[in-house]
Amino acid sequence: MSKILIVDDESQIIKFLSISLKSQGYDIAIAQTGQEAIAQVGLGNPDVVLLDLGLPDLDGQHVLQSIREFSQIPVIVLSVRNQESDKVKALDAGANDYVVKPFSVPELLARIRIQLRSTPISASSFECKGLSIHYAQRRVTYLGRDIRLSKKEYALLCCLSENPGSVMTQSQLMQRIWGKSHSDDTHYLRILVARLRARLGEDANQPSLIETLPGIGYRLISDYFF
Amino acid sequence: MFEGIRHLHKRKIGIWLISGLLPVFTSIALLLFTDFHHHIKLLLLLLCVLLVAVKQGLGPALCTAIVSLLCFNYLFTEPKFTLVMNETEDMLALGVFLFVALMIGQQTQQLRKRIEQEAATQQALQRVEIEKDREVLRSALMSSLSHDLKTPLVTMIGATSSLLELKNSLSEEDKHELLSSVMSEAQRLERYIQNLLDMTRLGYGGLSIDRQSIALVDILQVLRARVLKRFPEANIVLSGLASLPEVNVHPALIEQALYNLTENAVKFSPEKEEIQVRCHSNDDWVVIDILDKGPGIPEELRESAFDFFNTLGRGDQHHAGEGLGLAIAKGMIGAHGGQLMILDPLNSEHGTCMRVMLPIAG
Repeated sequence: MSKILIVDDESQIIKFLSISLKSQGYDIAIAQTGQEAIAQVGLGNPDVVLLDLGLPDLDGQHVLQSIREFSQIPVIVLSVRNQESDKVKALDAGANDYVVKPFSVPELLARIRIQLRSTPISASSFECKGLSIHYAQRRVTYLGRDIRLSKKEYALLCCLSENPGSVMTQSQLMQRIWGKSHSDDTHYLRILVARLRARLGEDANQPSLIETLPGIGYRLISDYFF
Repeated sequence: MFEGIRHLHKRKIGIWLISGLLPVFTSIALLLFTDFHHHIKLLLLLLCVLLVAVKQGLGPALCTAIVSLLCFNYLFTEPKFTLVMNETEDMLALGVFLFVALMIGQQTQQLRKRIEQEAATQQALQRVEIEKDREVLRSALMSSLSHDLKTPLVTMIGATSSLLELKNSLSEEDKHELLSSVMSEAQRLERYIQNLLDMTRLGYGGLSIDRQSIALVDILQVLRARVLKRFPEANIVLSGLASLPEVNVHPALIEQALYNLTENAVKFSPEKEEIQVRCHSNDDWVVIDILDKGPGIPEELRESAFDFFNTLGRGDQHHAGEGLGLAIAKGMIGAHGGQLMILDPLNSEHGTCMRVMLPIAG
């Protein structure tokens, strides 16, 4: 069974998370400091990390950066910090998702499932909610229809499909699609997302594929989400 | 306000009087020194102008200059005791005198303005600096408050959502654990909010102290019972109770202050280690020492340990609610005219001694 590393310094939070996750059959590992967390990721091979940002020894953002230096393990940040800037910073540093405390356990479980079942980047094709992408043929179909995409629209869809269910920040997407030069102007990205949605026949107000996180970024809504 | 205006008027009249009379007196005094040359007399009058210019500004300096000129003309130039001048040399000297006096007045005026401007700039800079500090403090306060208030809620909401949604996969034991977590976190939140309320009331000075004469022994015994209820394993030893006098205090506040200190002592001590509460008194003070065997507080941190904002400045990198207790204890003891200090424990290499001193007279 999958092993989840809980990184938090509040014993009551560790306790209820442990009970809840164990009841769903997950194995649990616990780290109460940033140093311990980095060591556990290096040695213990957890499958998902739940990372609190306010740790007694190191700031969680720093722990995240250290983990990303040697591991691509899915990291879900759990924090009471609900400022947009904190979320963007953590996601830019490589967090896969960000859950603001307090949260309900079923929501957290759903987000953990997404991280555990994400398609590896090396796959030759992607299937999700009627959307399929054949990377080798550069072919996209949605609900049985062939979708013709421009080069940039296709690049955007590929970026999102690499990490279904994980948030991609605006600056991450822009860097991937346009390179460094455009990484400050989010205007182009919004236009591109709108065009991609139009090609897929999506309603921007009730998107079923591409979710907007205002001021932060976008994510591909995966099958396993709720 | 009218008083103020009148006062201002008096001040102004005083300034003009001095600037006018100073050269007159100087000139009369110079009458005694008949063998002094005119140059000396003019230089002394110029000194008067300079003094007035430095102290009072351009206007009074001009006044001094003109009066000096008239006095000099009247008293010293031929023909004496008239405002007529015969000698070209005297006229030239007075012309130069007037010119120099004007220059002095103007220059000092400019210098004064520049100094005032600089002071104003300095003040404005300071204001910006204070404003910035306040902003940093405010944001630290908000981040810390939201962390401390939300942390218990994280467990309460998380555990409750598990109980509601996952009940089929939870054992009876798990359910009980989750419920007791919710309970203990709710109690923690309650304590924290109570602390915050106490703190704000102390801060605004609105906390009225209804003092009554009470035996300190009673407070200490209630305190011990209360600590044991929350920490059943704690080992609290009271000593020196026999000769304690009555104190004139608000019993609940003093009990809360002593509770905060003892709770800290228990939290930071190794499990089951003795916490000593030792009391003694002299003519003026009752002294209560609370000694623990914890890691101790380094000398350099002792001042700031009581600081409300010290805890808050650490944002979310501390356990929720931790540290406020000391600031509150200090506030409550201070409100009784007492003192709270951190000392090195006697006869022991490590640990902390919290000393509470309460005045006996009240």
